[in-house]
Amino acid sequence: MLERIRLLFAEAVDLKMETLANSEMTIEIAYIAPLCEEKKVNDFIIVPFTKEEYSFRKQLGINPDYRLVEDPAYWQELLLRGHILIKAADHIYSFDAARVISVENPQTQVESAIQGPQLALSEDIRISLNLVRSMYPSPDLSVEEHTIGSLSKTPIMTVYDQRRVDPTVLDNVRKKLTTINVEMVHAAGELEKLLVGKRKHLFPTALITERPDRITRAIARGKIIVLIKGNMFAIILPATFFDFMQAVEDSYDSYWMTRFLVFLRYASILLTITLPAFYISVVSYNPELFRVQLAFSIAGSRSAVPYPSFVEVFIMLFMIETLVEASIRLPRYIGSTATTVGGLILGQAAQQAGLVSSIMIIVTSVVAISNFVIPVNSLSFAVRFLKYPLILISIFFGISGVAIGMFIYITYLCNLRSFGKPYFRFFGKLRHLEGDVGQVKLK
Amino acid sequence: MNRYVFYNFILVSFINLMLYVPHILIQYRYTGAVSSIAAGSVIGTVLLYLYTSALARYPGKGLPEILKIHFPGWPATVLTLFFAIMWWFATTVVVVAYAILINRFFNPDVNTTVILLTLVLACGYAATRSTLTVMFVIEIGVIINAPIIMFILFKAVRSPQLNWDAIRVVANYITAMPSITALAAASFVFTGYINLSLFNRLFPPNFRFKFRWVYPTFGLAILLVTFFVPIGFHGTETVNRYIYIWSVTADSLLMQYGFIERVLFLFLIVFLNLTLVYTMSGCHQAMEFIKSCLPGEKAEIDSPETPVSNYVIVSCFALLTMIFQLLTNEKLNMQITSYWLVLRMFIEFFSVIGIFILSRRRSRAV
Amino acid sequence: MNRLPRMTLLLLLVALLGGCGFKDIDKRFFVVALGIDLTDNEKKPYRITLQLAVPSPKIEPGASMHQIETIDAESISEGVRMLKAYVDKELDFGHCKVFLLGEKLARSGYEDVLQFMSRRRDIQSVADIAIGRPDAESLLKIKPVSERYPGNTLFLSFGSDGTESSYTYVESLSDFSRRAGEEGLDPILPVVMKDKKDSFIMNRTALLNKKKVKLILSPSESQLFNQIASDFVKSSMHGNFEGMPLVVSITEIHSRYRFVKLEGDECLERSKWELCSRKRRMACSSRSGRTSRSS
Repeated sequence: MLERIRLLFAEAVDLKMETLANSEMTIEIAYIAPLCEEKKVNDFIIVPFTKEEYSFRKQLGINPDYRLVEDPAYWQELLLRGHILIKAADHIYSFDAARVISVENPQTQVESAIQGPQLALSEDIRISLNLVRSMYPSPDLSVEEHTIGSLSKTPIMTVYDQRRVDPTVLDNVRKKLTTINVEMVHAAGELEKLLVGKRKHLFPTALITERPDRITRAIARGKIIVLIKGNMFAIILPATFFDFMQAVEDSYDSYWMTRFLVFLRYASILLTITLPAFYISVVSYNPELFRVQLAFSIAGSRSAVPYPSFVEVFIMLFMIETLVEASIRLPRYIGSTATTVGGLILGQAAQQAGLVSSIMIIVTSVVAISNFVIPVNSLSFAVRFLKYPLILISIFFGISGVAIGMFIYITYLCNLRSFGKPYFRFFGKLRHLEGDVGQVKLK
Repeated sequence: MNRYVFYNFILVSFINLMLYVPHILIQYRYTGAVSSIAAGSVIGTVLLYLYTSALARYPGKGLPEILKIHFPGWPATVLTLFFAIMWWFATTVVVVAYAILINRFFNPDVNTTVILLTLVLACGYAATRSTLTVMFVIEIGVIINAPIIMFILFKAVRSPQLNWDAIRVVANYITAMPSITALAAASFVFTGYINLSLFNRLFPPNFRFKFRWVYPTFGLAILLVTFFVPIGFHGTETVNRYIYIWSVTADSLLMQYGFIERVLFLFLIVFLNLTLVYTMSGCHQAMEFIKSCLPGEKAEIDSPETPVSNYVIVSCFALLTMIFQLLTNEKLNMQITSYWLVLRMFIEFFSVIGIFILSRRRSRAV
Repeated sequence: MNRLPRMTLLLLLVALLGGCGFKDIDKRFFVVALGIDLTDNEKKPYRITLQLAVPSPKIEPGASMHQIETIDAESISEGVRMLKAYVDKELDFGHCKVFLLGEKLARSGYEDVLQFMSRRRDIQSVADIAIGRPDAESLLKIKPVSERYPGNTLFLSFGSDGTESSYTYVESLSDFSRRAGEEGLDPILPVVMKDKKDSFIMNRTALLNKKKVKLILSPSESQLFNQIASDFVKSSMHGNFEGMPLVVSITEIHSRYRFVKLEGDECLERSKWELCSRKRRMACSSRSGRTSRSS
């Protein structure tokens, strides 16, 4: 066996191959040392084999942890996954001694909730599965394993409630998973892009989350979860636009307050998309839309600005976008300094220098702040882009252009399907007896 | 799922403002508009009941499919094509009228043709989507805009500027005999049910039409408001001066405490949205009708890929709309619209009755 | 589609759009009030006065600045167009909320002015109209001390945002044009006068027919008219009650009218008027003047 393995692998010092002998028999073992836990190798193979308290041959036969490998084609993969290959008396066994390095008991960081579980998914897929299983203790929970990536061989798991899941969506997901042809997958976002399939899309059509409570809630609603090894995030499929606007706390806090918060989110998403475009169109096309006072004070504060309104908007948006980007990328402690410097000092200075008007500063801050209100990060990123096409169209058509742009956005959203399910759709009350529109398939 | 029927109905009854219906009715205010409203609502209600009960017998089937069941090959094709042209024309009138409105109120310096091109491109893109998508867009459009329109109408009715004397004076002309044009204009408000010709495809097999009494009540209320409120605002005489009577009426209103003071702008933005939605829905229906005439074409309600034929047909529509705008002006547009309204009334009348009889015959045969 | 044709299409579209009505707010001159007078020159009968706002970033009492431009012209739209050559920025009527007609003009005929105002798309139908006495130009030149931004004083005096006086009748453009066209209704306009100091008085009301001013009411008549015609509540009545002077503050007014046919073509308007004051209810019935029109 060892000769063969030596041929399979490139020159590697960390590939350990030993031949051990005791009074009973001689075995050959092979493993990649950094991938395996030394303690497991000792406890399960070397120590029992050399101490000879119990017959190792019998142990190999009884303990299901030692799995018989029939096909030599699997050797390579098993070794690369941190298994130990054991050759004893013409049989090859494998033993899982993989060492998974992960953050210990991670806290939720991206989607934090004040109340509610503070534990996030783990980078170790088994711990994640443990969390999901313990929060959804149902015999109907079905778990499938797939491997993705011809090089990375990332193990992923699809988890769903077999009684609640939509079979067409499940088929769709399975088909997608088997047809994905890619070398490397490491992040949930990467896998999401591969699953959705479209190269250029504006909106995320699968929800990426780190919260186990969000995941179990989704399973209960018949959705499919994809867990990835080495990633703290899971993908929820299919997702609708409204899922992205939902924070987990909405189901924990008091009713009216959360309704208000939901309303606030929709209002702010509207503001963050349209406000710069509205500013341009009102300032440059229809100043009569403002009240008189406002019109005069804007005209007054703009009189020092040498550029047309859209250049002003672009200057300010450039500043704010770079600020947001910088404060995300920078280490946490420096990040807040960057925001202070940018937000407070730059804005004030830009206005005093006559580069932008004071109203524009307010517009920009509203745009930035209301963007952060969106609870799910991927949508918040998508929305950040949406204002630019509207700004472009408002330069040429003013308010009517903005309205047309919004119409196109809505059409685009309504046209999106997340794994065959409508993405942007007002559901309302559905009575099961009545059936839904669009269920009929014409022959 | 009755709300999907209702959305179509609301959409059409609101869009009457863009199809010069108030202006046409006001022209006839001394010569039969009021009685036309009464007669038109009766006709509209009867047709609505007939058509919905006829369609209930063909679950999941649109008008082209129904025609194909009963007629062989070419008569069905000819009829369907004819309907397609009718639908396309309605959207053309609306979108051209709106392009002119934008040019007048929002961007006086931009060429109307350029505005129209933008509108047509946006609607064309939307119309090529699948039927299900179009239905969702209609839903969102109505849900967002209808409350604002109701608010404006309510504000108009409650305004102290409204002169009830003028309304009473015009209402007293109810004894004048209805005229054909006014009747056609009045019955247009109720014609939302005809959109089901296509959207019936979407409804599940066990779908039942419910709350049918809501439609005539709502339609009549809208019709009365659209006709009488401008009269109350502009008086019995001055009201005839304006073609886009409702934009002038909205301009007479002031939201003292609103963020936007002038109701006109709110009104125009909301109606721009409705116009876009209506144009999309009309274009889509016309497109689907034409597609159903193509040989070997299967009716799909939610195809994952947009067929090329969609793009081809809708670009033809867009081109024709542009040509229409170049050839006509506002006056002519209005004239043609009033002829179209009359033609539409007769076509609808006969086709609804026809389909109704066919559906009865079929059920007896089965 | 390839990328190249797409880009070409986009570029073409953008090229089509070049140079369309994009004009920033600071490149516009807001007309806050428009005054129209009649001159003695027969060739150029109209004197147009524009009150243009000079915007400033700070809004405080007394800081308001405005610029007055005057021109004599053959017609109003002609005058406005010629005035564009006098100023450096685009004239914008979007915020023009007050129109003043000179008394002389109002006495000789207002039809052209009304046509101009109701035809221009950027003039709001909710704008207020008044008659300026002695002429519009001198009134627009006044700079009230407390004014926060240009044109505010006049506008606030009319709207119900600011003061609400029982002596001021408020007329909007849409109502004016309705009354001018409707059978059975005639236009009514408030009259604005200049105080000795820099402020306005508007306590008179002019009654017009379809062409020009017929009668100007005195302040007390104006108040009575407001009370009857528009049920104006925030007012008071003076009188003597059993020899004692009495002021009654009114909390509720209801008026009703009915036309009674007399012999011939004449009609008598019989109106009933009900007042309600604190704890006391007064009812009086009055016969107000004969109206020549019947409706």
